[in-house]
Amino acid sequence: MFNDKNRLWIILLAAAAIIAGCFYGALAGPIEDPPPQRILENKDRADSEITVRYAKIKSVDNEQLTLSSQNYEFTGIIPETDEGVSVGQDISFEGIVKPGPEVEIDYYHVHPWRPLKYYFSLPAIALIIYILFKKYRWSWRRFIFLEKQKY
Amino acid sequence: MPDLITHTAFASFFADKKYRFVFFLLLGAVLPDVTRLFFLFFPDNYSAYWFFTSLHSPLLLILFCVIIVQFFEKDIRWAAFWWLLLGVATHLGLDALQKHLGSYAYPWLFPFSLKGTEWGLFWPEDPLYVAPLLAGAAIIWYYVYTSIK
Repeated sequence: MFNDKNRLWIILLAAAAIIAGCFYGALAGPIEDPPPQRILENKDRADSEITVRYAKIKSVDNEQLTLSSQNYEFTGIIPETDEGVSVGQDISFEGIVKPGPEVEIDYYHVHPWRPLKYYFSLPAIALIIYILFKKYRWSWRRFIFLEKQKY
Repeated sequence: MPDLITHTAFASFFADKKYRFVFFLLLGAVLPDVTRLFFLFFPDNYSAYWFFTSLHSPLLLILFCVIIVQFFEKDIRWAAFWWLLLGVATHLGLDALQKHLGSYAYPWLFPFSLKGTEWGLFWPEDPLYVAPLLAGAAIIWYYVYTSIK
């Protein structure tokens, strides 16, 4: 599987399988796990359960939240507000679909540090790129990375 | 996903004595989330979310590792492949400890099932509190581990 003779074919076949898998996910995912808009605008889903991950809080008015998920705005009613619920935060919740479109939220969790997580990830990527070029050099002729140090 | 500092620091404890293959180990540890970074370009596209979430499954990650090692010397390809897989395994292992609402966070059995299961020990952002400590411990471990004869 890892000899030079079949290298191009292995890359092409694996890439084709990955792309096919991704397209399958893109088609099947939203059908099996519909986005909030499709659930909230479906009248047959009234009083059914809904789970939403990482909706953005647009506004807070006592126990009423304006939420946005995939460019779709709707209202969420939470049992009680606390200091964790504020505009701009990401929130995941489980609740019951009500007309409006509205969700009566039973359980929620605010993700206060979510954007920070991505910035915190950048040094790790920089470190890996540094190690790559410290340990290997690129050969244009052979189109591969060669180890600098011989073990 | 915990942050990538947590993932790389955790994975680095599994490195070989000479840190010869540490690049592959760390790359494997970030690989599932690097593919997710593409999703940042399509933040409100639900199909794009699922397109890239599929890349967080073991099957597609193995294929991804197969492609990556083709760009390294033939002599180290097998070793590189296994070190990449070890890195991926540490990543998926940490991810499996997390908590998300719903059953669609990580499709472990993709393409046979889009659902995944988690142990629910911590929320994805919680490792940020321990990431600096873990990174410090990984650096100390590197110096101690490589200095032992």
